[in-house]
Amino acid sequence: MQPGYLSTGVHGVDQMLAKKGIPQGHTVLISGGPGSGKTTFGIQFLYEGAQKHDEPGLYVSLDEDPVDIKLNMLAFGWDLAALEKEIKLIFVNVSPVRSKSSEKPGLMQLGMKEFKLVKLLEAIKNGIQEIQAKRVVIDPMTMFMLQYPDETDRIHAMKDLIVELRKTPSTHLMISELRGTGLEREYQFEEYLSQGVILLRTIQKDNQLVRMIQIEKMRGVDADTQPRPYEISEQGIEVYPSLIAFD
Amino acid sequence: MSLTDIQNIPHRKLVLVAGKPGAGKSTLSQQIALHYVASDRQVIYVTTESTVEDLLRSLFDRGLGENVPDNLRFVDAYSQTVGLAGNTHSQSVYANCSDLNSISMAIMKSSIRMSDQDVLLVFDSLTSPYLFNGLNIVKFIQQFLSKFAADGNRVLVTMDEGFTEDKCGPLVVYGFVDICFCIIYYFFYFL
Repeated sequence: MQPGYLSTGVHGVDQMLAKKGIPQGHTVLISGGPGSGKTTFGIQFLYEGAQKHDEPGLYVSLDEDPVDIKLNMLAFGWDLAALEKEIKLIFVNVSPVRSKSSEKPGLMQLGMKEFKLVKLLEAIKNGIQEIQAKRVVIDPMTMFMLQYPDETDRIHAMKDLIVELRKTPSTHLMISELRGTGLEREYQFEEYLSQGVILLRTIQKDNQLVRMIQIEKMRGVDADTQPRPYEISEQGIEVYPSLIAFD
Repeated sequence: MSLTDIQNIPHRKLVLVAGKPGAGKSTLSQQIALHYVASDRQVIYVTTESTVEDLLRSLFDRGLGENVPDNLRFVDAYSQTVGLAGNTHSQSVYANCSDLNSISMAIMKSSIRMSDQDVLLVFDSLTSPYLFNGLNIVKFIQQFLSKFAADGNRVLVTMDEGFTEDKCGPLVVYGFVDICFCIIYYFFYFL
């Protein structure tokens, strides 16, 4: 991989990124529908760094319990716990969704007041400092945005977050839900704010889930912006960059 | 023109075989595939109208040896399409006719496992993907199948006759074989 760029570790994606990868220091949005492989993409990115490039990674979870993630990723043969032991990877759980011991089991409650931009940033910065993280994944941003019901507040919060993230020496992937995964859809403001946008699109067709990946933008890289087919195999996400995607 | 001439699909070209159901499209495809396999060339056989097991039975009847040779691989685009849980065959990759991407990815995956660059791709038939995808199939012929041929391979595609008449199928291919009343007409469009 070229200096100044980070290999994504997702088979085929680097090729779409002019065989370079993601420019170092970028804040890139990974957006997709449920089950499109967003978390897998994020973990694959961290695993690549920690395992092959001696670039420690930080995974900031706002929703899913890291224990579950580690368990799920074993299916791809990625032993994240081992990387944790080697201090090449850390998980920080800052989920605003907490279960209260006084509640009946299974009942969750939103503890939004406890969770603000400042707290999220603090967690990220501490995490980066702790292991000198070069790669950071925040998953999902949707949980963070939920705290700002007003759109203007949401845009400001997002902007502040990105500005602060850019001050760190790391490269960040922000994972978010994609509203309207089809080909015709409205742009979300996060897409304007980040320096790169990778969409994981899914189209339901005759009971079959059709998947395609598209690099909507990547500043500083002459990226292939055509949608390309991908699948989630036993090796994780595999993109076929030479194939045209059919919808 | 004899059958032997047809058996040699030109390098980097796509040949389309059309005919009514029962005209012998599948028989011809299987014979050509066996001819290539027997001469130690790489073959990927895409089946959209039968399972790999049924296809193998038919290939055995036509003289394929007891063990499936390494230079013959399959894309089963039938089992999943009709909702069958296919037996996992070590030389097969699965795809679904309703998703053209799954077919192109399965073919790519099979070709990566092949040792040679020059692969014969037999696609029998395009009718079922056409029924699911409509005119997108023309895009599939041009942007995937023709490209696959141009990348250094050979492609033989079959489809039912009715389809080729109203859609521009024959216009986008190099060779066109029309099987009609068991007489084989063979045209080549020299560009």
